[in-house]
Amino acid sequence: MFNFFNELKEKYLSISNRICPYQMVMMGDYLLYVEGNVTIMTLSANNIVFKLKDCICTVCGMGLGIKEITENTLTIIGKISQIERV
Amino acid sequence: MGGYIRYTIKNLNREKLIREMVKIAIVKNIKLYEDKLSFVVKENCIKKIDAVLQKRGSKVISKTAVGLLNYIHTSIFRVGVIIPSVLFILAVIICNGYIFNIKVLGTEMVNKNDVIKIINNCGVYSICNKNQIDTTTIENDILKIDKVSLVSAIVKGNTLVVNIKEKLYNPEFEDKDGFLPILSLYDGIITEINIIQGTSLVKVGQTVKKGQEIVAPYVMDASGDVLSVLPMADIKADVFYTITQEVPDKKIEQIDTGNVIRSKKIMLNNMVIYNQNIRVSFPSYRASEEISVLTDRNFLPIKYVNYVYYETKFIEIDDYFINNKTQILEQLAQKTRQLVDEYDIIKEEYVNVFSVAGINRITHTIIVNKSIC
Repeated sequence: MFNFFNELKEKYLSISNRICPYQMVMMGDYLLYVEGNVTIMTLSANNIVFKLKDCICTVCGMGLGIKEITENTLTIIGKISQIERV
Repeated sequence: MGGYIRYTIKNLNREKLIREMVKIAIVKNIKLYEDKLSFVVKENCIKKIDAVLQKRGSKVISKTAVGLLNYIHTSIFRVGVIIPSVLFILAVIICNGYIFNIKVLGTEMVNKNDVIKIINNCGVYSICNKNQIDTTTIENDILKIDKVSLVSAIVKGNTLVVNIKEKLYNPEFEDKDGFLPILSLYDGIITEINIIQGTSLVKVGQTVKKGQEIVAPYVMDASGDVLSVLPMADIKADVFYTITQEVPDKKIEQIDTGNVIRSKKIMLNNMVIYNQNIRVSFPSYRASEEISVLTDRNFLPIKYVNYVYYETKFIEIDDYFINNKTQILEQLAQKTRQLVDEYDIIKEEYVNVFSVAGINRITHTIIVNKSIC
């Protein structure tokens, strides 16, 4: 998928910090795109929990759904109200 | 063709199922409906997905095609789509066997209608079966036209394209036998010869008659061979315009004596109503007639005819030519000048008078130097 993650890393991160275990971008409050080794843990219309390499993310909202999921990407759509990283 | 299949399943551990499916396929549009889960996967992954679902003990509620594949699957059973499609395919197949247009290209000198007539004579018309078209025959028949050099006839799509290449005429070397010699347009004496092409048949100072060949349509090359060419030349000559008139020394003229006799006649249409019927007693006379209509238009067309007879006598005028010589010569000069073209420059003009036995023979001659070819 085409993105500007590399450009952002080159511009704002030091070389040592450029190797990120995951990358996440949110477009408004409607779409969340995640890159990394994603594993779905909980799936419901109001709550989607997924595991990344070194953390667990919880997405809360309304009418949530997975638009597309592969081994390394996850696209969540719906009315997103909260994202929590633990 | 990348079609997609939408699964609707019933499974308790949805998260684990998704984790397994993600390993083998891209899963899209995952939606939750209470205890049901629906998702979309690519058509080429359904075998693996089915295996996973079976392994996980999931109950597949529905499995439907979506996208273009779904449209194709469903449209197969739509009569409104099938019949037009079949008809369209049939029409394409049938039309593919026919031509609907004849295109003739490259006709400038050749008449296009003549070419189309030839094509029609070969049994090929605007709508014709392609199997009936013999392009070789068409090409051979069109080649029979004189002005055609090359022809190619091909069937392209539903059009018969006939491409004609016309002959390029070089007036110097084509139609060798068709060249004609240059003929003199006037009688005269040659004064100047400028040959551009051809062979001169006359010399300066030579007299030529109108219609005489003055330049031949050939040249002789260094090896003595005769080469036909279009004759071109500018040959000037003194052209003589001559008019001859004979005038006697004496002239007999008829003159009126002054005696007049009048006679009247009244006619209704062509019927004579009244005729004065006077006898003319003059030994020689000339008569004139005056007709006047007495009534207007066609109402009783009564005509009044007045005949007048003038007595005449003949007198002999001596020295007629001597007395009127200037006038006669001037009239003759005017007549001769009318023969000369508007832009001709008169080189010389003279008059010869030859008298014998009371007759004067006057010849007025104008000499003009002009091109005679």
